[in-house]
Amino acid sequence: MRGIPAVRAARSGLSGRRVQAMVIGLVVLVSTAASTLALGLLVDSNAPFDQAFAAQHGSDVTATSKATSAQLAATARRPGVAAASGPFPEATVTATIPLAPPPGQSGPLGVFQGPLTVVGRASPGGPVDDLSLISGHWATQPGQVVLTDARGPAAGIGTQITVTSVPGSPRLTVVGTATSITQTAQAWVAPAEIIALRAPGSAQVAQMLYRFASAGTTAQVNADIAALRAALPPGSVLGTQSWLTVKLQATGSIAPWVPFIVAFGLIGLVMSVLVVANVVSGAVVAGTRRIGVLKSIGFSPAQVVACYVIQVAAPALLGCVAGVVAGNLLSVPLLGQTAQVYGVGTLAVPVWVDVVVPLAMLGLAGLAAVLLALRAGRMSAVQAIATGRAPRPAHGYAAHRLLGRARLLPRPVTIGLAGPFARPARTVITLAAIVFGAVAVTFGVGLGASLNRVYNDLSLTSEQVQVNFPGGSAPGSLVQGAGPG
Amino acid sequence: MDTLVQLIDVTKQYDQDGAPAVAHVSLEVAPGEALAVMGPSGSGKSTLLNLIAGLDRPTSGEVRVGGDRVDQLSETGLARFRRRQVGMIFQFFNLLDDMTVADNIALPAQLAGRPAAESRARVDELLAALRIAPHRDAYPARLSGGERQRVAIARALVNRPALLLADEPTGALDTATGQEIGELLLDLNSSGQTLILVTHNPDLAARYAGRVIEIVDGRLASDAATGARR
Repeated sequence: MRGIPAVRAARSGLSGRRVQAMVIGLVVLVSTAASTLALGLLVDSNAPFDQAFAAQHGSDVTATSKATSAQLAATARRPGVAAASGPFPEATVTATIPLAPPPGQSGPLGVFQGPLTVVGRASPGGPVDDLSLISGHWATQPGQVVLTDARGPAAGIGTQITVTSVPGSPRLTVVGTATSITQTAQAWVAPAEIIALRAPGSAQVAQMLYRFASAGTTAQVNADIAALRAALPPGSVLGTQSWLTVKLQATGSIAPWVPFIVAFGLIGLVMSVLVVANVVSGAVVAGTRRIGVLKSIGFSPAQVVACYVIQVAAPALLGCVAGVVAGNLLSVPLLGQTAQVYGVGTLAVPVWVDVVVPLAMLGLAGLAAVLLALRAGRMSAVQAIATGRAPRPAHGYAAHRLLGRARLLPRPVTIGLAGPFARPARTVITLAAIVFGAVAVTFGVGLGASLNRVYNDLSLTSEQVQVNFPGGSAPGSLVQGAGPG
Repeated sequence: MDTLVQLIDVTKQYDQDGAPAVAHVSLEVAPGEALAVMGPSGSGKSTLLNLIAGLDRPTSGEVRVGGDRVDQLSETGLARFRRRQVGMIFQFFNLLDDMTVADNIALPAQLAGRPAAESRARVDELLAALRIAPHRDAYPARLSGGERQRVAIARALVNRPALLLADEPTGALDTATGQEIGELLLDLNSSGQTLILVTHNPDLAARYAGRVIEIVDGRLASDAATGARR
């Protein structure tokens, strides 16, 4: 078989140039990892709320009602209701929560005191409002609570919450954090726990979560709510929340971040492409003399191309596989931070990105190798051997002459400075890769630091706090105030 | 006289404004002949050899080797021609440093599609004939200049080419080793191998070639028999 000599030549080329093969593999690894991360960020930054809403089966309408469980359960079978979860027992409590300091800081930060909407759910999953458990485990035992992770008081696992609104001030231990894309509650406990959290004499209310066949506009959602109210005893619906209201709040806080994160993703992609093209083309150009020798002993242009594509593809393939794994591992903290900033629970690298990125990187490396090997393969063997020894004589001559005449610098320095002009295309690609690399590093470090700061600040954002003035206004007065920090 | 190599009014010009490297050269070489191409540096000797080997294309004129019109072959056709018709020896060996001696020699045979067993037998035969069998599994970088040139000669001969082309084969070697390689080429020619040898060494040409042509400024300046032994 005629292809075998090309494979043999490629194999010997690889073993004879282990460092070059390693550099190609490493560059492709880093570029694939960066691109996986960058494309994952880009994709996740495209309408993140809508994506998370779809993934977590967000609730179109969250209703709080004092109707009976049977009455509420019956609404799930009403026309127009696509899916429903509940009824879940609900209580609004006043709690005292010692706040955890932001990452990197130590010491007690302060105490959150205020109302919390607590819902009793046996598990985080369900056909509607499939909660994302961010850390810890679900509350299954008495005295356990799971706190919302998004825009809520920052309390670590193990924190003791004191419920001050019921006699005996029961304590709950935080065992996990979770996110609801439609923010249906601020804390979740086991259903049986709710009874102990209700103030004596308060109404038994429950939460019902719905997805409707039509809920794309405010008018449709209003119509759905009206139909729901009509189906339940008059006055039994205490409150409703539309997903459109939640979306409006969420996208308002996401919007300023999206351009930066998209820009970071794009820079990462462009840099990866340039670096791979530069390194692979360098490897093939460095082998031009060898191509001439191969041609002189009877290699056809197609065999030369095959040889160099194999020589590049083998380490590139390994780099791609390792790179996509590394990209996914690296994406965990960064996408986690991004998800915090977006307030959408969890973000992950889509599966198609894990397939497309390595294939694209492999294709890019192969294309760079094919184009340059084709060029070298089309040269006469003599020209290839001569070009492999030195750049074409005319290239960079003017720069050499001009710099040589300028007697400001020593001759060895001017020779070095004129060098890049001998291969202008490669110089431009190298410069572009360096510029993009510097921008990416600056952007990456800045973005990471900014995301950290925003994440920390979100934990300290303004909250409703309840302030009881001794002998003053009636208990339950609410004052809007800023949280600590 | 049968003709193995025929050049008809061949010109090679690299720069449009510059002087041609080879200008209007016409030449015929018979099978079994040993021809030395001589001339000063830059006279066009190597260019002429490259044109015959199909490593370069003439600007005008015809190059025929065996039944092939070399100047009209496609790149793939030229590759096939180089595999079957010619063996080439370079001044600086042009061996593949990342392959062993045996692999270097076997590669053109594999390219020509010869069966593996036949290729191995031919490689063994050449290793023994050229006295480099002990270096079979060595890499070229570990060999002396003379040994490397022997490997290059073995590689050039592996497909039993009709024409052996040697570009300054002793140029990078010391006198004694150069003489050894010269003798080797002479032996090959004595066994019927057609040889075209580029050299600037008149002694080498006189001793090992039956005919010497001289190229000056790209033109054929003289063409004479030497009376060297065969």
